[in-house]
Amino acid sequence: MSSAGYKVSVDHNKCIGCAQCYAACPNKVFVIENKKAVPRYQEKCVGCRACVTRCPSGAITLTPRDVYSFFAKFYSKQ
Amino acid sequence: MARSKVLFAKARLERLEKEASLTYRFRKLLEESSLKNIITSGNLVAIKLHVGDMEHGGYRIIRPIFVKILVDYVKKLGGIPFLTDTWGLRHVVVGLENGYNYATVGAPLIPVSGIKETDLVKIRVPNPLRIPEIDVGSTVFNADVLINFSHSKGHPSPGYGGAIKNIAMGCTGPNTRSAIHNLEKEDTIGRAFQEGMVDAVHATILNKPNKVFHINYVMDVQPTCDCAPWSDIPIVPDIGILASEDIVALEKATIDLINQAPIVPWSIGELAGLKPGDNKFLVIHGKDPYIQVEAGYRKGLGNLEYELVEV
Repeated sequence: MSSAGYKVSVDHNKCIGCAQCYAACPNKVFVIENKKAVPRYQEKCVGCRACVTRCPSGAITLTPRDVYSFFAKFYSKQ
Repeated sequence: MARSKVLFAKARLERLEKEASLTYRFRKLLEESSLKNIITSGNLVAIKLHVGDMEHGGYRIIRPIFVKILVDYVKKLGGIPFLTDTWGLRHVVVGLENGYNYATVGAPLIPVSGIKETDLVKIRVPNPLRIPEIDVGSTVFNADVLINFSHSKGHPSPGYGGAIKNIAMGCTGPNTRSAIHNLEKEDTIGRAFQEGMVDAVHATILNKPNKVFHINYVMDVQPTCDCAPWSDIPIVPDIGILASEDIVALEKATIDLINQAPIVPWSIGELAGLKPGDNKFLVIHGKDPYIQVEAGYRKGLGNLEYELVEV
């Protein structure tokens, strides 16, 4: 998907604060706060999925944000 | 330079007999291809395909029967085939659920770069256009032969994704994918992104002279990528399967056929007012897909002139 086109979600019930996502992310999207991963700079996410691949607890989800894509005009917003 | 041969198995059923159906035509295409010269007995043959999105929203992916036909043919030539895709073991599980498993296609499915995408080989790109060093998945790097079995469709970043994208984003690691995606900020037409993809292709095939074969599955040509958690009505009717040793000629032939094709009613192609002859993905995504083709030619990866040979 296009650049800056992903919403990064972390399920804090699953996150164990291991920081593997922090270490793996090439664009430094994550910070670790109170032993949990927080996608503070998610506007930098380009969807390489390194965080999802490395996370040992399946806590991270990437959702395409089509509002940033040229073709989104062909689809309903609701 | 002589024109490159691009084999074409048409989807349109012209006679009511099994030999005229695409499955049988695909077998014939493989038999008439140069694969018999590429694969030698005992070769480990990587078949790279996109096994689907992580959330099972998308469903317009390569039908497993076509993968089985390819796997069977590789075995007939004495090769040891295996399927591979990126995003680690979690993605392998998705692929197994989508029908790419030993029971259905007769080959194992393994990750391109290990269970967590850490098994990568750094390759320097000769005369890079955008990216000087590429992380290539060790599975593909170590394979004796690479069969690049890609699904041709639209994509928001390069306009179109086919053989070039299947290698560039699918045989490399997260840092490389990120570097290519970050190039999207350089321009609005998709030039930097597509040139970055071509660098990744160049690095990936570098240790496999005359050992790489490309196949484009030009069916279910939907507006966006197999990685998206959705599918939509294809913008053109099913065209068929094209194949070549020349990735540039193959991509050019594929995009030309898509552009010549009529529009499928109710698709976003109709919504966009597309007509046969339009550069369709340029209209839909605002990115000119021929940039990657021309970049591949400039890098010496293939020929812009092709001969379409129907099987």
